[in-house]
Amino acid sequence: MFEARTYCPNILPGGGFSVKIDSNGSEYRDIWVLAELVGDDIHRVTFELLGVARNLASKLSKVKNREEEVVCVVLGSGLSEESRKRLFAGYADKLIIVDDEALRVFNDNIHAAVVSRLVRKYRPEVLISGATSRGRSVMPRVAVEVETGLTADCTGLDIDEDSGLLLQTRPAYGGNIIATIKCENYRPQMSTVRPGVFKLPEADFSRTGVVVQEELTEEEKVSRLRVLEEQTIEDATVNLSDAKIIVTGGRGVKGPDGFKVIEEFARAIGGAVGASRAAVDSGWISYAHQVGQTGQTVQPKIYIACGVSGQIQHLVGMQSSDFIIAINKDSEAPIMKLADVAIVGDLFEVIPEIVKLVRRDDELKKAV
Amino acid sequence: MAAGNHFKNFHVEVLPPRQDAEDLEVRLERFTKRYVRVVEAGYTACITDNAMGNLSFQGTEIIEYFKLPVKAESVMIHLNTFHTKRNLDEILDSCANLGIRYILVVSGDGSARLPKLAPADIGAEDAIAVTSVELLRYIRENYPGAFTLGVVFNPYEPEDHEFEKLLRKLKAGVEFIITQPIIEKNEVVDRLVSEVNIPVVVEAWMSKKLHLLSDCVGYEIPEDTPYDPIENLEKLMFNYPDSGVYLAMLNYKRQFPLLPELASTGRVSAESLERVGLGKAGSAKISVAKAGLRKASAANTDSANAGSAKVGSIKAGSANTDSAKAAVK
Amino acid sequence: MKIVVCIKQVPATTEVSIDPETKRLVREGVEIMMNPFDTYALEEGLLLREAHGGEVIAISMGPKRTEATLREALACGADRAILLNDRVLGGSDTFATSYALSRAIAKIGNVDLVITGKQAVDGDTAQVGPGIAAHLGWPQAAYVSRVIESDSKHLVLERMHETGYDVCSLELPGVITVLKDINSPRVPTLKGRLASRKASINIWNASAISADLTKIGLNGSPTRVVATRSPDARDKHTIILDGSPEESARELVKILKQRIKL
Repeated sequence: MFEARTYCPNILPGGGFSVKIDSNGSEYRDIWVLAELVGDDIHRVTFELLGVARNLASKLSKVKNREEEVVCVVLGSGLSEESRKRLFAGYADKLIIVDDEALRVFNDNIHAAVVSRLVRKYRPEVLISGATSRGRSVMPRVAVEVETGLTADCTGLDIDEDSGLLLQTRPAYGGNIIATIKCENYRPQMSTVRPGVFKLPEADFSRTGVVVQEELTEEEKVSRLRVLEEQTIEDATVNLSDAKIIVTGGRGVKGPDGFKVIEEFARAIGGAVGASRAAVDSGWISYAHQVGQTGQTVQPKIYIACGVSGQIQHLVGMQSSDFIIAINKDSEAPIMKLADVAIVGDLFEVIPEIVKLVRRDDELKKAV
Repeated sequence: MAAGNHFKNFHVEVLPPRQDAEDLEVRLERFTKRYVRVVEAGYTACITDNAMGNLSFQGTEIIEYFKLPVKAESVMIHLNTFHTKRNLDEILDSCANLGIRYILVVSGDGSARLPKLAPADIGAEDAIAVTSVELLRYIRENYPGAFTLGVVFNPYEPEDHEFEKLLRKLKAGVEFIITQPIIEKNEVVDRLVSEVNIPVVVEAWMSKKLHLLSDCVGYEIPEDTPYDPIENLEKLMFNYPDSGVYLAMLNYKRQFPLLPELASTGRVSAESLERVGLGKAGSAKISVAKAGLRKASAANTDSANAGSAKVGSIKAGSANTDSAKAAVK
Repeated sequence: MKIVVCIKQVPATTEVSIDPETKRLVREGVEIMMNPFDTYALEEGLLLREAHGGEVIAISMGPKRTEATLREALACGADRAILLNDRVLGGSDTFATSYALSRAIAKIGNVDLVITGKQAVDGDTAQVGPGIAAHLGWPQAAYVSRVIESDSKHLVLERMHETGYDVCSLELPGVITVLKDINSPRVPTLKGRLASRKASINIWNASAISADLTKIGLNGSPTRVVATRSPDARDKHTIILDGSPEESARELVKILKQRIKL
């Protein structure tokens, strides 16, 4: 089923850059981004990654002393001209498009088979995609099918100046350690990246590029997984451990009605709702929202604790957050010392003011 | 319905072994020995439910497996909301079949390993989450008249908040109350005793290591705080003459033999203490501990600050009395 | 139905407990546990066995202490437990891990369904499940939130994504990875636990599963950790805002905007 493994050591003694070739002696090149479609639209993570890919391609070009390109692979049905333009404006140099009715509905098994075939045909140096539920279903399958390494949820991607290797950084051991990972001897070097880790680059609509059309094989149109029905949920539950922003209510919220304020706050800034144990025990919100030692451990970019005192069982569940904001009447509450910003005040008065400002501020709204 | 007098008794906590204990058979044997000892002495054996979210065995399971003796008045089991519905019904059915009357209904400590009752599981669809209140109602409705149900009261939480919670529990049908561990005398518990007309059982911390209690109450108690648990028990029995006492962290070797004397006279003689190898610690020191806890609890009863419990320097905190006793087997 | 459940033993979160003998606070408690997602995988396997008959086999790859977690699976009701244990398996990344597990599944033979938890809470990659499927050449359904229908030939299931879910049909044999709350994992009974302590666990090494040595362990892992560092220490300087609600809100929004620019 698989071809000979893409084991390509070619390591020069003492490190340094070496050209990677496959078993036929052909070179690996270019940075690939596997696009993600949401219906007919393109997921923002694709554009975030095209921006990263542009940087990686520039650096790789320097090391290899030749032009490395950004290639965007798009699998779908009926990709519009508008979307193509946007992808070029987003810094893709080339699009490899597979446009087929069989791809209208997402099927990770089919996507993986197609991507694997394309990888074997074109030999990309690097392949990255969003670490969304789709990306995390397709990429591991591709990695095994082409027999290479994959690093999940990277928070950093860079090119090593000497070796030209992709440097993949990600947190490990519950966020207490940052690890750098390399895939030295196998190609492509694959990574997934969570949406929002990298900034959206400014689009340049003056750019244009090359389009390559690829077709599905007959085999690829059939899968032992069939999608029967697609359902959209209005407020699909946000897993707290995936949330970028969390607004947590504690005892200071005083009741289920108080949590409505928390929910509104979370909605306004695009966050998920968390809860301290005291709030859950009082029956104000379900245990699924509990953050802390006997609840979930979270590592969002922004954690806003409202009316939470910060007992240690809560702190161990959120202390790895990037930025902590606390709103509490009591300036001596433990959470106020841990916080990056400690707002002394009544959450029922402060939160509405924040929500007002966020709603009025377009820049902030876009960013979240 | 039990006679009020029943609760004026020693309630001795017996912790089931954790499921992952390496020396499980040894710990099970220790449990059964202690359980039998308590029951045969005429006290009430109180068996916890996955204390601090550590997966342990159920009291009913152990009793059934080892065919331990059950006297209706002598066994109380804790029951929390971290169960599957199937498991919850199994436990309640076991209690009914074994003739266990007393159930202490608590919200409990969850953990990654433990399931949690969903409101729909127990017919409480309009509740956001299942707490002891919903569980009380479920038991009342499905096992009418079978059990005498109690709840926990925490005098270290904001006072108004805790009384409001208690009111809801009372409405759901509560027949006795057990407090968190207190030292000597506690103003909030005094208020509780005066305001409710159901039996109150006060909890006594029987370990010399008072600072471990800080995990229960959520306030730091310095590690070297001197504390005489026997003396505290004497004072509690004196200050709350109509209440029973719940004994947490009891030393079965040294303290258990003193219980009969305490039960009949309310005191322990110096000779008895010598006999079990406990010297009298001196009464002055207990007031240090009391002062520390009183200061913390006073800060906490400030209802104006209900939105943020004033906690000073925090060590750990959990609203549940089971929290500090996790691995006690 | 012959079902294999892949289980991982992971570090437990710090638990506070008191040793009953020394009465001393023990901060670690027990240091290992079954990966929480895998408890759901195991329960789903047991439920399918209850519905269709058959066998649930729990497998795990790891050092000897992994046996404790396999025993828990037996205590819950798994019929058999197999530990992949061999020095040469150490240092495996997700490629090598999924390869080894797939070889074990092939050796077990005639397996209808492989169930894994979505991800392990120590690695959080969610790569092993799909990796096993790819190594076996079987179809996969990841992020399964409900099994709607099942028979010996196929499953109808719900597969979650960020904005909803799909209803899919999976032709067996196949691999599914499951989410939390797909079911309510049962807790072992005392009888089950005591029996599991006496049960024997098969231990398979690399040659028992006819593993290609170039695909396992450190040497078989395409990715490698080359450096680790502590996260940048949080700047301990707390900005305190204690003005009026309007002032505090304004200040906070200003700070957030600055942060977002960085």
